[in-house]
Amino acid sequence: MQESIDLSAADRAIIETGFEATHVDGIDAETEGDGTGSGAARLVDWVDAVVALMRNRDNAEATARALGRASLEKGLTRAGWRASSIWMDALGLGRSFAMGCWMEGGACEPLVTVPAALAPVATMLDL
Amino acid sequence: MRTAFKNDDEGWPARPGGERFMGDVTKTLNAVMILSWEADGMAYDETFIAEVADLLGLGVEGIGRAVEEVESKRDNGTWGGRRRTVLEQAMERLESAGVAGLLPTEGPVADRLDGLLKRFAHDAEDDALSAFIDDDDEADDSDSGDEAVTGTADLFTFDDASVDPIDDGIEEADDTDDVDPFEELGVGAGPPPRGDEPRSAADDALDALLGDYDDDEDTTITNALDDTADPATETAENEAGLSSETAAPVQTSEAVYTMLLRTVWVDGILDPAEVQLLTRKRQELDITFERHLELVREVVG
Repeated sequence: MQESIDLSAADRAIIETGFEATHVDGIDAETEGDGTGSGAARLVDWVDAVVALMRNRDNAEATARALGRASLEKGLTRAGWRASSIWMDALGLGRSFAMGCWMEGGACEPLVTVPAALAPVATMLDL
Repeated sequence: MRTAFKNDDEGWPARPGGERFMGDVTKTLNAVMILSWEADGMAYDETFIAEVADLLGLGVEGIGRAVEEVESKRDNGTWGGRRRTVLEQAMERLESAGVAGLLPTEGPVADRLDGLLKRFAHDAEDDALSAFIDDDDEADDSDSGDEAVTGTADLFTFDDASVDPIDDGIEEADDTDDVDPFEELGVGAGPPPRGDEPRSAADDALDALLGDYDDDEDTTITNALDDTADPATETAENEAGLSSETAAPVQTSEAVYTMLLRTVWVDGILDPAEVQLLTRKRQELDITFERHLELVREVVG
């Protein structure tokens, strides 16, 4: 997964340390927390979903762009943009998502389904 | 003292025949934006401007045009050395809009407009008092000091019948009910200032803001207003205006675009029409998509 999202080892260490501090510590392995991926089982599922999405980079970027466009058509709030763009940046899909949100780059395919890896973003955007 | 926005039953009339021109509403929005911007000094009140634009029947594009025009001409608030004139004209415009029914005279928006008018009327009073104090010791026999006080004060006494304006130009202006104040001031249309003086940045600015009216050669009020200005202040403001003219066009373009970015999100929701407007503006202002994203981060966080 680290390779698929072009994440450096240093950045990965920072993210994982932060995640442990904010989500994992104090959570029973048998229960699920509030955050996306909180709880061991859900985290594994979500990581698998991200890896699956990134196997086809072009498709992932097209989906990200379609997600951005869908969010615009629904009505994009400042908070929605801020949170979702941070999330998409972390997945290496920030630019594609932004292109959809800001109608850059010509025609855009409609969003048919939301992959599991991007479900948290769709939730942030009320899609 | 000039009456405030509310309860003003005189002031400037509607355009001849009472017709409501698009130019009137756009100029009214420009005027409100100018006062709001200058009141704050750093930015206009986005929510308030959106409310006013809505009342005037102008959409986001109208706000965008106003932002672009005002931002590009205000020279950091100096207006090319003619800040006072610009503010006075904006105040006239607001009063005119109230009388013409373009803007409400009751309710929260009217209260805000009223506050802006009072604020700048108060500033003018302070200017007049300062001029009086400065000139008192050295100009007992000088007409200039008295003119400064009376002339400036008269600018805000249009509705006070007890005042007998000394300045002929201003008195003439009081008697002229069927003209657009911006035209009368000679800054909203094409003709250059009287004589061979080059056009100032403020003239160009107001041309951009108000330039769709016919030319009018009567610049009496302009001259009267100019006479009331503090020469030292005018010189400093002119210098500031000149220095701003040399500022990099890129900075101006980005400042305009940034203001537009703030404006499109003023209602809390971004929609496709607003994004299309931004796309056009990026092309016009030669701003790349990458730079756009950087500016979005600056605006939104």
